[in-house]
Amino acid sequence: MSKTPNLELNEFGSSGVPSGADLTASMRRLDAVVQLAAISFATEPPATPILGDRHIVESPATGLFAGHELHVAAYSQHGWIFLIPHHGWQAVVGADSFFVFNEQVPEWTAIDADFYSPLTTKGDLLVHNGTSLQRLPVDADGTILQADSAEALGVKWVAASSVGGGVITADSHPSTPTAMDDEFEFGSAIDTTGARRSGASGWTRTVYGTSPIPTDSVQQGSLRILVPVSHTVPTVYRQPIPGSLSSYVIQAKISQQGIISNFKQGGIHLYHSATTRWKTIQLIYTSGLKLERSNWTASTFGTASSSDVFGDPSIYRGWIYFQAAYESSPTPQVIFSYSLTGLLGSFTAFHTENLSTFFGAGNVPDYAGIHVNDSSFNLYCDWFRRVA
Amino acid sequence: MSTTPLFSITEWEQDQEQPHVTSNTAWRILEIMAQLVIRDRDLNSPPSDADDGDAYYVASPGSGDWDNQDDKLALMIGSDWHFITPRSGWRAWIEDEADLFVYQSGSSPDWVAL
Repeated sequence: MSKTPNLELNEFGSSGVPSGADLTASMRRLDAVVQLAAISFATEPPATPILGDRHIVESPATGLFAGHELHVAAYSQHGWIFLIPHHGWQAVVGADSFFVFNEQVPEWTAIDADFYSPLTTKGDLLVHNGTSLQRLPVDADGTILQADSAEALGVKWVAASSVGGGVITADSHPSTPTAMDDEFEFGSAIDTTGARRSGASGWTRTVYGTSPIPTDSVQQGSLRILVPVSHTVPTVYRQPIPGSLSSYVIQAKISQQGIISNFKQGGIHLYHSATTRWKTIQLIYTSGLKLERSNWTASTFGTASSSDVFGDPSIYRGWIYFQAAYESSPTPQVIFSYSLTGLLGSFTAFHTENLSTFFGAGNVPDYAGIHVNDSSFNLYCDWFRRVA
Repeated sequence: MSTTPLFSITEWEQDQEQPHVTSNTAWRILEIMAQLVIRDRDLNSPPSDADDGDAYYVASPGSGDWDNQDDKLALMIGSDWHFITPRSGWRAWIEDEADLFVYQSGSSPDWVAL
């Protein structure tokens, strides 16, 4: 007697109908597989099965289930019958888990059971949390999506302003920045040749043009912080401006590229610890916040949480501008320091120089620009400007 | 000759001739519909590689052996096509899309992915 290919139903022969037993066997198989809902995956039969119980046999199958891995086991009046699944068979297992049989593996593959969309609000997104699909509620207008493996859903909404640096693409800078507005233009002009410099190498006065730097000239570079992935305390190299000293204004523009949120507090600043010779020190964010030297204290330089000094701690991006005016005697010190706080932890580094060395006549170094000698943490100087 | 309302299975008649043919076809339809796997829902003419036991959904406009069978299930039984009008709520695994669908009838009937 032949059988149908899928469910192995007993076919009718030309000589007559199958026996009652054969018909019944076929009925049971149909009964088992129509709207297939199994109680569970099981390696062995339950102790007290109930008629109609269905399980999907999983490895290592034992007892009456032995040898029937992946098969559908159905309990009938004549004991357990087994059905060999075919590609695409669907089964509800347990209360709400849905599986489809994949013949290629073979396995019963779980289909995400979110039959009902969790989305409720215009703009909601459906994201996977590694286990199932979840709702990511839409956030405020203007926010953008950022991947973040630390988040339960793997992504989060962030304010566009917190990721600005990563999308700075302009490559020009006003050659003679005189107004504050100019200095807030985004630019990535790196040096007068257009080349980008990083680390301690490649910072030569050749790059920056003539030496000493002519009054009111603009030495272009890019002071840029690339956020470290791992870091050691780096060495900060000074920016020497050679020539006789009377009064200087050093202006440098610092920008950050990378994970802006790491550039959180402190920034780069000049600090005079003993003898006040600064006429101006300013730290300015893109928010327009200006911080006068009088607002700064030694303690705020030492902490990474000086949000009161630096304003809104949510504003992490953009330019930091500083300038200092200096008189040559007595010899004060300048400390370049910065601190970064963020996902990668915090650290502070500083380098102390006598200003006479810093500004000293005849001290024409190989370095021109402020930069950090650390392979994973680079500062670039956008430009320096000397004002007589 | 009457047929069952859902799967269009031919019912036995008085003095049925060759009842085994009718009955076996019934089995075949039942076993396919018990775990409906649609190979493709976008074809409007029978594929040359259709095998015994395959199921397709006839995309409009049906042609060839599928002429006038728009929006029906086409089951290959032996070497013949058997057509069934799907009902709302029927579910099927659509093989070439590798996803589970539920049928919605109406003015623009279609399979809706779960």
